[in-house]
Amino acid sequence: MTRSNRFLNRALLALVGVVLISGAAYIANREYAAIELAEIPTPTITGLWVAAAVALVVVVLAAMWIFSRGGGRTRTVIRRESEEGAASIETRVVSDLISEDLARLPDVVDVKAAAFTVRGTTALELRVTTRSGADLRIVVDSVERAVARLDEVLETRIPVLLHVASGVRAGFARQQRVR
Amino acid sequence: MTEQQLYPRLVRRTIFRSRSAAVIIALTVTALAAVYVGIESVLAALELPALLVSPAELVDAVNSPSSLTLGIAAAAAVVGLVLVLVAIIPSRRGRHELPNDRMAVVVDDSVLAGAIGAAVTREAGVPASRVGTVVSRTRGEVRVTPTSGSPLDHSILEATASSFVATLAPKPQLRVAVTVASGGVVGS
Repeated sequence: MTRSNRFLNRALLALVGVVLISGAAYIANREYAAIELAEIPTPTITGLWVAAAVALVVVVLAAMWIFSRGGGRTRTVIRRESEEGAASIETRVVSDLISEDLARLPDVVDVKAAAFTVRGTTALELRVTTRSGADLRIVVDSVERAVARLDEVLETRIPVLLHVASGVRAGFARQQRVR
Repeated sequence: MTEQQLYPRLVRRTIFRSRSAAVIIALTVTALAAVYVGIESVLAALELPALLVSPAELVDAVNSPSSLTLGIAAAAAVVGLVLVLVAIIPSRRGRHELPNDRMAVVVDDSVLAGAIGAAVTREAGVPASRVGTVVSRTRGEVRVTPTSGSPLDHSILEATASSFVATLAPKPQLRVAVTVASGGVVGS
């Protein structure tokens, strides 16, 4: 869950792909001459400097794009300001509250919390790893109760994304036989 | 942004893979190529010897391609095609959404399979090791091996699995099929 624009990612991949294909098509056309296309002139000194400048711009844009991926992760879930001062609650506190609530569940192997700012709203992502054969209904209901308690503690309602995963460890964890 | 607008977005971004990794690789290669072309251009403009190929030689190679140039062009075309495909295909992860009043809930298909398998296991009364479940986008398949001498009713197990899935109501919808193996196994 990050802030990066997924449509632009796809558009850029397609653009790089199309540029590569057209370059290849141009070279193939030089060899097999299907359609009439102009030859590339031998570069002049000015042309070389222009090429170098274009290359520099491409490098800078590519670096900017690469380093802008991801992001949106915040350490602060809630921040409230008043005349007396500001109060903020960190993700770790929320994570601990939820983990403690879910610790009693035998089916839950691990709970991880992360906060993201998505379009100005801070959302909490809970990743709950379960044992194989876990009772999904009980897991989801328990998380829902834990979130309800969290709402009470925080005195506000933050958006929550629950992702129930079967991690690497879940595969090794034995299924509970007594039910 | 309200939860009604935010939740579908969160779910979508969890179920579909991001192209960030592919974009980072493609752009790194592009940037390296650009750095090389830039260096060669500057060297040629200052009339210094080229590192590998001077821009004039490069233009010549493109204008009258040798078999090496054609080979490189073919490789570039293949890479370009792969990039276009990666951009177009949806690349969905094996996950389902579960309806919930308070949260946006996304479940890995393997977790869903485990839960369905556990429900069938309880109904069939066989050890968990004899129930195997696979969940794909729209289908769930449960295979049960009965204990010799105590046959299992396929339709009852299927009803159990279906009603369990109905209580979860995953999106996209799942149709569950239960197969009972024809040969039983001795003991538990």
